[in-house]
Amino acid sequence: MTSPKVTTGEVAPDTTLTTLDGDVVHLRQAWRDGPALIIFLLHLG
Amino acid sequence: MCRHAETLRTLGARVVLVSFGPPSLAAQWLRETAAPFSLWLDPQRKAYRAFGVERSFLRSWGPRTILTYARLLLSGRPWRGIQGDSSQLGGDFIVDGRGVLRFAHRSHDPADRPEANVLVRALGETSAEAFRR
Repeated sequence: MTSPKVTTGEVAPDTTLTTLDGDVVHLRQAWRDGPALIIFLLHLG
Repeated sequence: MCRHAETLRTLGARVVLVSFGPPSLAAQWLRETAAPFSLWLDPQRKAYRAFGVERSFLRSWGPRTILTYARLLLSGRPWRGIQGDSSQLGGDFIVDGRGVLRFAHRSHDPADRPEANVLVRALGETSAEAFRR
């Protein structure tokens, strides 16, 4: 059974990711200062 | 989206690319594309799962995808082959400054992405709504 997906109007999930420099960042930092477009990429090729 | 970078700056919007690829490949990809956006890495795909971005082998290798890849190859675009999980799909999401999800598009297949102007318009609406508050 899959968990329900976040929908518009709900609070966006926050997780930790890594920058190319190896620093840990929280995804919420993307929208800290205003709206953010989060683009999830496919495989890099 | 790259050609809309100035518009995005005017809107006060930030673009963050998320990849599950290895750092070296991601850095090379960013150099080659010259995308003026942040690229953050999610090798365990926690963010992918949290946003409900799916994996599907069948949808990732349907006729539309094969045709898209064929066109890319014929266009002369350099291609290193499939790097990583070819079943992982993508998605595009807009979150406002309060952390509320305002736009969500989970790709049905690799070629299923919103047009850039659709995303820019949605960002504009999100920004305008913030100013009205």
